[in-house]
Amino acid sequence: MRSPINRSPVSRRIAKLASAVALFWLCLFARECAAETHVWVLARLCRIEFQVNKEFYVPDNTALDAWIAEARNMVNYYNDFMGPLSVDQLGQHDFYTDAVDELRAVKNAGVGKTRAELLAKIAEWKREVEDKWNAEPYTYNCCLVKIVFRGELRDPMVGRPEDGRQHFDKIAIMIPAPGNIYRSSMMGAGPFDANGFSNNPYSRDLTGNWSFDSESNYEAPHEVGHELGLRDRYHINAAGESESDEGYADSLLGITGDHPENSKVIVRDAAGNIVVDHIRTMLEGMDVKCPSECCPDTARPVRPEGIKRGSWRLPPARPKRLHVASADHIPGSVSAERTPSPQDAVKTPDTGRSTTPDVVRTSDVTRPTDTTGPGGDTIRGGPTGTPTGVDTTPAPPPGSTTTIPGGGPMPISDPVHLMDNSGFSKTPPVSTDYYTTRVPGQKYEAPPTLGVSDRSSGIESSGEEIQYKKVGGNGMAVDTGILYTPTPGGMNVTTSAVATGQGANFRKWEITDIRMNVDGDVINPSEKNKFYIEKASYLRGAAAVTITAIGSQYRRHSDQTESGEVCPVTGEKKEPSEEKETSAGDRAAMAAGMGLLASQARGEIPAIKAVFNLNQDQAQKVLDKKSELQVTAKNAATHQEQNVKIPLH
Amino acid sequence: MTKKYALFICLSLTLLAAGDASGVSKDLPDDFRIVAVAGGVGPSTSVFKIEIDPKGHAVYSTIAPADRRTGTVRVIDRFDIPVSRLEYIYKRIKDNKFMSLKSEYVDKTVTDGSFASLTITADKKTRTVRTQNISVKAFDTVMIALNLSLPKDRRIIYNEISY
Repeated sequence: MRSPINRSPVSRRIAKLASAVALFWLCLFARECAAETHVWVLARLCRIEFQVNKEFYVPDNTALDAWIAEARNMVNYYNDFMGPLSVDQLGQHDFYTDAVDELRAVKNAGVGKTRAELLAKIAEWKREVEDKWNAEPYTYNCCLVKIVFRGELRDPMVGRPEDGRQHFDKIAIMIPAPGNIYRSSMMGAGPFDANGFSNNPYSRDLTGNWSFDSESNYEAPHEVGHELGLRDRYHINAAGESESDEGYADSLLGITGDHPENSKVIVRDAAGNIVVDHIRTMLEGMDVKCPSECCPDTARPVRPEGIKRGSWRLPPARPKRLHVASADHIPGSVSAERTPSPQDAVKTPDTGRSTTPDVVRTSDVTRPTDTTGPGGDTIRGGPTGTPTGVDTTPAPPPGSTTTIPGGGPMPISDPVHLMDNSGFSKTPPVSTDYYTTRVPGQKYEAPPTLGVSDRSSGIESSGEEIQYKKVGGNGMAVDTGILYTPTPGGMNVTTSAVATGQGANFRKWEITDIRMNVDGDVINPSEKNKFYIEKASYLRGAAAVTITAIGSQYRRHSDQTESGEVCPVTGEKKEPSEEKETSAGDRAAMAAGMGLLASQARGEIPAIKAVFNLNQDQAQKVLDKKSELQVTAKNAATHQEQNVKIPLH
Repeated sequence: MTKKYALFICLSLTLLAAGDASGVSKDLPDDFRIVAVAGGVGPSTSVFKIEIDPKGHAVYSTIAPADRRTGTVRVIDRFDIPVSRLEYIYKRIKDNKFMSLKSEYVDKTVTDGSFASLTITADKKTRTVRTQNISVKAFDTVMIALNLSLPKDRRIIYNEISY
């Protein structure tokens, strides 16, 4: 065999060409299979963020065709009878003829949901997901961990955007007809490791079907659990029935039928000890580390209890799909690893089964009471105390050091600091990256587009787009719904915004001014109206409320089409006159249903709706992301004033 | 003469009706029985079940989420289905060679979702076929034929045939 060094120039060229082609296809493949779940380590904020991106569409329902075909077969069955039909047979003939007519009517009705309804559902899913997954402040070492959900409504036939926007998973919104039922599902999750984790969702697309009629608060959060890499925690038992895995009855991934609405991501026992911790499974599965700078009291790494010198190695390179926002804050060696040994096997208190972890990490062994759950999830603070097989040699006193081969000197401090020592308050801190106070020249950064946006074909064909953005300020936040509508002269931007504070200041903040800055030019709204939101409605879902606030005034897409046109969303042919009256009523009902009021009553939250008329040049700058909304909010109690900037598009 | 003619017509009609009834029973095996079950795979979902005997007596029941672990069934309704509808269902069972299908079809790449199980007894043979998150045309066709013959609020629906 010839050495590569001795290859001829022609061979080398062929090899280069082959490499280039391979790289091209690899890049193409990687682009197509862009990760749709991302982990971000926001070093400056000491925050770890799991970002789940979903792209929703409404599929064609092929099952309905099968029903119609079968009903027709039944009618033909009686039509083909030789001789006269009996009374009973005539009755059956008519019964199935009616069935055909009804099924056809369902088919002709199309999707049966407006864009606003679909967007409101996506907003509801977002709220459910984030409420469940962020139900309690979660700190990992010293980093706050958050799960963020983003959703877009798209047309199924439109390919993935090539404009540099973030790619999304494709999830079908299944809209069952009345009397029908649909169970949400995900496709492509797994295979899972011994801990019930798979990093597949972080490197390739998962698809799924979610039921529009899911009325539970746990169905979407459960499906998102798969998107975060977790497996189901239930099984079919010997009787052929579905049952939660042992120890997971209260888990969101086990969702027992006894009280599914109470299922949790972090499950505690009666004494308050954590017994199931799905977030930790994800963090460990993705090998996420919290920057050492985030622990002021334990800036130096910690030698895990029971781990002796001799087998240390440096942490591996940054894992795939793990993003670190500030490279200068990548931790040097906040945790270290060693190859697991049989002594690391941890017996499960319930089953006595022992498992050997793939990698032993600092955070694993510094808590002697940590065990592995029945199915592999980390179970903390169990009643068995120190796990069998783990060396319990007491840690040397703080400040002493030991030398780690290959890893350099490793300072040692009290392992207790690896527990929640973050100093964070129980309320998750609001990012200060995305706001400005009245300090001239203060820098702000564009936030990730949180929430829900609409890129379905119905909107693209009319050029409309809806977005929901939440931007945090100092102790307050602004929820904004934004509708972009192209006009012959440029673009109209309709916004609805509401400011809320934390804790006792929840209703104290009020938006006093809203304007738009387009590449340095300040534009005032052509229309500005106050409206009020019931607190309960806001708490049910700010995204749904702010989007509905826009939707309650802008015309339903089907209204805009002329007679004979077909609505691209529903596929139905439009009858113009009656439809307009009906949908106006629908909009009013929707606004009322969402708790949007024209005048304030005691306890309502004031909000503002504004319309900006932009010319062609300004519209282009909005599309080029050179514009922002500038919202001024004032606290009536403290007279504090803040400016919050919301990047557009 | 008129009385004799009327008697003849009356007898003819009676025989015709009897012949019709006997025709139904001829086309349907004496031991014909249908048991269909469908529901969500996860333990937090309900399961619905219908049992039909050869006379068309149907029992509709459900397993509530809280009873999934034990499989405790609660009867919701009892009603009759015209035997002529059962004839058609039996025809579709034969058309789709249901008794030759595999006992289970599962798409293991799907998490959660739904399942359906259909047990047919006919001519002293019993066949149970279960599908989970997968479309099996022969199975689905029989299930649609069955569901079309049931009252709308008593159907046994799973994802692959949900519309």
